[in-house]
Amino acid sequence: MTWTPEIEQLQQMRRLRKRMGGAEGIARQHKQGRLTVRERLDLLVDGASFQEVGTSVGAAKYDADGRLQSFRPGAYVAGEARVDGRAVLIEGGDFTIRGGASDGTISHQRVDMARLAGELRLPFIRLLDGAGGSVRNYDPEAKAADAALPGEHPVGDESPLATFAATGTPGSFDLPRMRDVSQIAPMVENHLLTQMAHGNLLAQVPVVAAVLGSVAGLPAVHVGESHFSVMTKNSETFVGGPPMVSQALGIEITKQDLGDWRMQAKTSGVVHNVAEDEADAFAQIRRFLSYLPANVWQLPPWIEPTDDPNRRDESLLSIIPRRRAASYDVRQLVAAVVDRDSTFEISALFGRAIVTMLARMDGFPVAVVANDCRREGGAMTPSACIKYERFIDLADTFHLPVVYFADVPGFMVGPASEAGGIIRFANRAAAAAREASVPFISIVTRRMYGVAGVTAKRDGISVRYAWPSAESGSLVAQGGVMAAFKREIEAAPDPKARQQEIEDRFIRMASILRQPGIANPLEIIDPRDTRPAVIDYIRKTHAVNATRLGPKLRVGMRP
Amino acid sequence: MDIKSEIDANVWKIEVAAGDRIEKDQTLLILESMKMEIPVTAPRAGIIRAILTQEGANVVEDEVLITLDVE
Repeated sequence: MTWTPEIEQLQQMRRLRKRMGGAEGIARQHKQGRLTVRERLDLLVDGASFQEVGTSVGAAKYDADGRLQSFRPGAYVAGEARVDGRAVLIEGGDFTIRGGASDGTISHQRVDMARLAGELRLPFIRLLDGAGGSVRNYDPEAKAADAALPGEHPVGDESPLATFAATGTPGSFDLPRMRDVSQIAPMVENHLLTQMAHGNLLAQVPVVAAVLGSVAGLPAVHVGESHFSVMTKNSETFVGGPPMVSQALGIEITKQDLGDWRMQAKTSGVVHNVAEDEADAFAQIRRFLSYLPANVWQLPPWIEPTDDPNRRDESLLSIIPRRRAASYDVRQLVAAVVDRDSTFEISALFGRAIVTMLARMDGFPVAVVANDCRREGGAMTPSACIKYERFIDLADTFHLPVVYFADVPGFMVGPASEAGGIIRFANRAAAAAREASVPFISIVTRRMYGVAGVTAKRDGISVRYAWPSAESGSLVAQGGVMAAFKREIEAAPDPKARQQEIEDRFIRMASILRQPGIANPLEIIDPRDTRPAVIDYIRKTHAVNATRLGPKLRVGMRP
Repeated sequence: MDIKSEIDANVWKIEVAAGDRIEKDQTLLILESMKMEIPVTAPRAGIIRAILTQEGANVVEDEVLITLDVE
């Protein structure tokens, strides 16, 4: 006796699974301009590399002889795949089945995937589309009624409802021949740190969340529980949707106003990036992962550089305007320094006074931070502080050197900033910089005023360079002079002229050439030498950075 | 095509007039915010249809400043 009947039943379930929520559910999904979870996998992963697990999860019906009659797949697809040749774990909600509701799935499946990502030390990607649990689960009558909804596929017609790249299950793939692994140098692991990171996926592997539909409840929690999140313009996410908001608060609001990209990528900053469509979202995920190691026990992936490490871009000599009120395009400045076409901006719409980008320097992934003088004058607003803190944490966690182009007039003043908790978020930004143990290279390009200078870290493995255009002091002259010389200015025959006179004096004094001690650069450099100087520092500190692999230790609490 | 302000700011200087033919990346007007001048440039070449703001005006994010007939 063989187990052939059971294997045949398993195959039937696997075939029926690919019918998802049925033709109707798939059509509804497409009509909303959204793809099904299997089409998404096809767009995201390399070829037919998806190995599905949990293929028999769902609701099955059997006849009196124990033969499978019908199967309704669970609204959840999970497995391992390759993305740009590297192994990842992926899970996705299937909205075509009961709106992606968690009933019909087995909750330990989700837990298992997260656990596996930690144990195998592989990046974890969540394709979110669905509202999590439904109260209907708790009502036997509603549950019985739901059983009649589409998505139950009788055995017989088992053809897929769309063409997908071939997928398999564990063991159904031909493996390449094993090469000699005894040559792989073992890394001595700090077991204490590993133990401390246990259960905290964010301390171990890259976690990515894509918001691709209406995402609420537990899946919405997963949006925030990630290193990088991206949402399409026709998707939303919130802890509770409009019906809940209406009931709890009496506020009528559309799901778009409550949680689309304008709310989540711009106002709240919970979601990092916006994608034009799903293909763009997946391209962004691939790009994000390309800068990161598979886990914190590895170094970020170096690639053969195509740009010259000694390229000295002439535009840097004049990019900072001599006239103090004139602004410049900070993205152009960054592009002139880092490897050509190597940038990937993160969280562009939130906390816009700083720009955060992943990029490469001589092929090595780096985290670039730059103040944008065209947004809030480059001042650190509460949202800019939050963005800075998260980004420095990301860089530190995955061992990416930080390259910071500082042009910061200070922490933002004013009622909006105070209401936003600037004092606390400024402290947290400073703490993130202090705790970081990756190489930290700051280049003061123009202004470095006040306590905000702490964002240009000067301890650990760090270096601070300045351009001749740099200026520094405790306060920008325009604001500071009136505060410090109030009596003298008011007593003068022409107070305005006196104020101007004192301000001009301070501006001259603020030049880095006159007082290099203020911003404390190691050296004032020709802006054109920035690229070689930064690359040289990254090379020099690489060996130290490489000794700090594993989870990063963070002691105590942030302010 | 609508050319909008990306920030809350004051309009400091308007450098074009209705009917002007302008090039891509040409500066159309200069905003001022936090003592910093921020140029608004043309995303495409075209002819200025209308200027919807004036020097000294306060503008808010997403407010249309200029309409452009794209060539």
